[in-house]
Amino acid sequence: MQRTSSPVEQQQPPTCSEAQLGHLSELLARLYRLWLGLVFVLLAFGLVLDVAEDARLEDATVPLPALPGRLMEGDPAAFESLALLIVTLGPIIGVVTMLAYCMFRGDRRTALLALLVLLVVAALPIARAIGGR
Amino acid sequence: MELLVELGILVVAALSATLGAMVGLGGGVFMVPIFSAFLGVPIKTAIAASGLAVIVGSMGSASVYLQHRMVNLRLALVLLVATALGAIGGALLVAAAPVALLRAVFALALYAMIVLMTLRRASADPVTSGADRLRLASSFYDPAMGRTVHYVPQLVGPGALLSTVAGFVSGLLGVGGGVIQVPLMNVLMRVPVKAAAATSAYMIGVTVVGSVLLYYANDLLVPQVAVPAALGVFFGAQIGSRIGRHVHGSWLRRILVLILLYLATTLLLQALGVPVPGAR
Repeated sequence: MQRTSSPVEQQQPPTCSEAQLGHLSELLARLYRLWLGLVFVLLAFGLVLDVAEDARLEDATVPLPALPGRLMEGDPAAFESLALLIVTLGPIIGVVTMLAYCMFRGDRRTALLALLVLLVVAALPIARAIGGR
Repeated sequence: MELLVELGILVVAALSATLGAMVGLGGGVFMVPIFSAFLGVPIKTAIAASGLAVIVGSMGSASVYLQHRMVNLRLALVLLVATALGAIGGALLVAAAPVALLRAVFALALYAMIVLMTLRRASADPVTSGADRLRLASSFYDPAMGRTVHYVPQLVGPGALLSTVAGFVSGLLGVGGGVIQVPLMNVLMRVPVKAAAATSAYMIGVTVVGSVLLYYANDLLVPQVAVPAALGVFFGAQIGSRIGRHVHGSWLRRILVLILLYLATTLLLQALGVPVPGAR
């Protein structure tokens, strides 16, 4: 028999159930593991190139505009820099995944919260740059 | 930089992350002073490497906690917005703020939290019923207790407001978020300490992303320090989050109280003008 929702339930905006949030948790856990795996493959590659070159870790990262060219040249610093950049973006990819998951399931309130998180996190470094920290 | 120093960074990062992942902290509170005071890493480089390590640690430990459904994702989003808004205010006013006074106030607030966490038995017992307009109630399986723990976060409005204030002060003082969020969730919002630690472990990674991108842009992220720190933290976080699941909540609270005591005393000494090795 199909369950009919009560008037109180009908008034509530649609939200992800606890089971759906559990599914999202597992999805994020897998995403994080994959992401870290990719980072460590890149780091390992950079470290192997470092060992082959001079057995020392790099003392500076590669600026973003020069990164593609230095990667093509097989520069170990470029692989290490790319790994550091990718890992830095990991938590943001997690929030974007939450946003997409909740939007897809009609949970607009949680999706809006995730969007707000992305906005304030983007505003924070701008505020730090203005404040001089 | 000598190989021995790089090895030292890796070991310190692994130990910091093991402890940090157990109680939901990033571990920067240990890494920055030890890197700079004992391993000869310049303070700005140490802060940048610690920021990156916090992200790796957060992702590593959160992947374990998320797998076991211990992270309260909706609560994390609410508190992230509140904390980051406060941190934006703090970062904008950093030049004009009376930093010594704020350090003293923050230290006293941490001491108050320590007293509450030590004395108040209530923080050990979650509230399992009541109004939940924001649908923040959650549950997780606690292997140490051998049962599923249900809880409904209490006083969400005041909790979010205090998170904003805490974010404001942490934005001014450069203190990490976990050290504030875990006691706040546990003492005020009555979230079980394990769920609070897991939720905080997830949150801290998101909060430092912006800063680390700034460090990268300003050439403060040095691979010689950041790479061993990231590797050490990854393994430490995996170990710490697994231990954290199986340790009894009362032990996690004791560890957290000790860490808060260390941080509060450091801040108070700094406020009084006493030099603290490796302090920011």
